[in-house]
Amino acid sequence: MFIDLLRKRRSIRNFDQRPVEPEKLDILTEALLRSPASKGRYPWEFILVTDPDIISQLAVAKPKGGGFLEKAPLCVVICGNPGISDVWIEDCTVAATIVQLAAEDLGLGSCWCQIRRRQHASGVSSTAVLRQQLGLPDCLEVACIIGIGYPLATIAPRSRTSLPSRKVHKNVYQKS
Amino acid sequence: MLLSLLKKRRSIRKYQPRPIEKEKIDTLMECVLRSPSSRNLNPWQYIFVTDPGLLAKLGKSKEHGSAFLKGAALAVVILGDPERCDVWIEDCSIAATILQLVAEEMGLGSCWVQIRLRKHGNNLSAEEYIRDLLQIPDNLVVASVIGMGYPDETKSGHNQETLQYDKIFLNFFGQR
Repeated sequence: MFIDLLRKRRSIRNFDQRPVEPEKLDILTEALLRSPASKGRYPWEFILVTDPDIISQLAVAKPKGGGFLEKAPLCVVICGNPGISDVWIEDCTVAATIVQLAAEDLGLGSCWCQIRRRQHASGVSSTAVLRQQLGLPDCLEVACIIGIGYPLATIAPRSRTSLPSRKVHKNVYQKS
Repeated sequence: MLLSLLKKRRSIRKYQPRPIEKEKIDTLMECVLRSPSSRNLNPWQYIFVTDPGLLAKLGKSKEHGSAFLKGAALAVVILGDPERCDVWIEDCSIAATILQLVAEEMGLGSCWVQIRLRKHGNNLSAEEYIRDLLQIPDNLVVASVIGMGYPDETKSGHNQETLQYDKIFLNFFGQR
């Protein structure tokens, strides 16, 4: 059940070095392309990176929090074209969420590396660095990179009682 | 399998008048609270609207694309707190995606109504309209509204041949 997947899912940043099988890569690709988008405009493009040298470069695009990508056998770079849709951030996020859930469903672990609004060590944007590394055209922005691989260890699920239930309101906003 | 859910999922805007059971609403609440967020800051809040009068008024949020909410059994209004996290758009979109997938698995149909960057009319944003309607404090913004209910229309899933495989690259932009 999909709900059970949500209940156990945690961010995984440590992967074993086993590559992701081609059949699983195909499923992740199909899941990405089945992501719904506002007005059916699909403003995204995806780069599936398995080349270790390129992955090492991705890992330094964002020094704070991006280092874990170095050990990920697969990185999915999620790009959006603001010229196609003004809500490309939402559309890229939908696809990123779906690929993470599809990975979890296949027994893979994953973690999100935020790129939009984040910076490289030099002070330039992480997107500018990635644009050069991956040969992206200027019309594309990088939303995020999802690092994926077989988890090295499992992390205990969050308990139901730890959820911030005061953040749910009924019918109108209730001030607490 | 998540992919089978994705293969059949379509946006559903016509609903049966029957309400959604309390247990299902509880599960939906649990799942949005389980949505992962950047640095676990959870910058979202949710308003679960089932009141028919409020649903009818939510249907008037935008000139186009929101009217179907009048016939929804439930609308979940997704709020973000930009002061809590600069990537609240992403975090709210993750929650919206999860909500739609859980609804689908429970036999419900749903559709996303974009609110951020959308207008109510000439001089009012859709966000301001909803803020006033649901008494939302000024520090929160409205990202989207997800309408749902038991489907009263059927649509077939998208064929694999229609998927945009030209948007997938390997290792480097332009490389396949």
